[in-house]
Amino acid sequence: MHEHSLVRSLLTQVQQIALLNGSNEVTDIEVEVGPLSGIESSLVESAFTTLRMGTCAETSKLTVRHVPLIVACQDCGTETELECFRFRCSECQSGSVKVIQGEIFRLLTVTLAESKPSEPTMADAVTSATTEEKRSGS
Amino acid sequence: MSPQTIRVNRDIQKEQKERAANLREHLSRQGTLVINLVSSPGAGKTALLEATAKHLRGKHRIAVLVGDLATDRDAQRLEPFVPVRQLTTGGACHLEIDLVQRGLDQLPNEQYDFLFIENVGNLVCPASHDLAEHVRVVLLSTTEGDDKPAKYPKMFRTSELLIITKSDLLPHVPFSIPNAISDAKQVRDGIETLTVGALQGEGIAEWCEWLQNKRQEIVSTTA
Repeated sequence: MHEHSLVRSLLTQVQQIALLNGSNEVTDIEVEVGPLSGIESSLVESAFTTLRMGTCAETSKLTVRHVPLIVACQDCGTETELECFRFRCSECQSGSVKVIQGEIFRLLTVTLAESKPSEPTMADAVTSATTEEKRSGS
Repeated sequence: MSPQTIRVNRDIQKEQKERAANLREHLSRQGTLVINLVSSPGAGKTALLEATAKHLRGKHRIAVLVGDLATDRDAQRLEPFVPVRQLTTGGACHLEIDLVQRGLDQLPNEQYDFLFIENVGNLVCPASHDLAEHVRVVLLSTTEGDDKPAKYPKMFRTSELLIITKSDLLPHVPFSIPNAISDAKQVRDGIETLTVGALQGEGIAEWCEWLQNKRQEIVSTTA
């Protein structure tokens, strides 16, 4: 089970992206997996639930998008969507095919929350109320 | 400012893959062929390496990095023949490029002709990790099912050579070499195959010749 190390890597990249964009809260993360990514999406989700704690993605939602396995024939150029792991061109039956989709674990999008420095807390509300009072009083 | 969606569209392993590619290029320039040996536990990776080390001794400089979850027993077995460093993964089911780099830094600083990486016995996770190898070689022993290539397609898809091991046990087990090869060719048409019996030395000369030819390819491409 190597999903833990991949999700750790995912979260590091998500945090860098948030930081670069001046945000400290991620709301949504979208990833892509395919039949040859070597990833079990339920294990990705459980690793994510554990590892996001204490990061800017702590409350974010992870969406795993599944894409089919597609190969391109190196002989005739036809693209074939494989239903099983029989790597053959559907047109000319050549075995010389290259995977063009479905073997990468990919980070698609990261959605950042509205860029306030932080959610206003009760303490912040009290402070601003006090400031308002002082202003109106003066 | 409203919520902002950033399109990244990037391979999560991009950085690791780039590091592996850089290390591979560096080792190519030194004339070192890197071989990532993968298989299920007990398929005979260490036995193959013992036989290989004996066969190549005196002719080539070789070194081994061996991955293991908890012990250094494989390293102990290989120590009499070659410089070897144990990569203990602490329970992880596969090796990653960082660990390989660290192991390489601990080996005597020489230019090796062959660097073998004996991966953790596992036909799933190691398939997804580039360890800077030039060739990935998958072992399948005759005591396993000959349907392994169909069950673990990614591993066989990403391997250049399939070695069927423990050939001496063939008379006693219901393993079909043609079936195994035919299944492997379904996932990788051009996969090469060899059969070895490491304890008796069967097929070891052919395997070592295969390695020497592969190394020549690397050396002539880099030169």
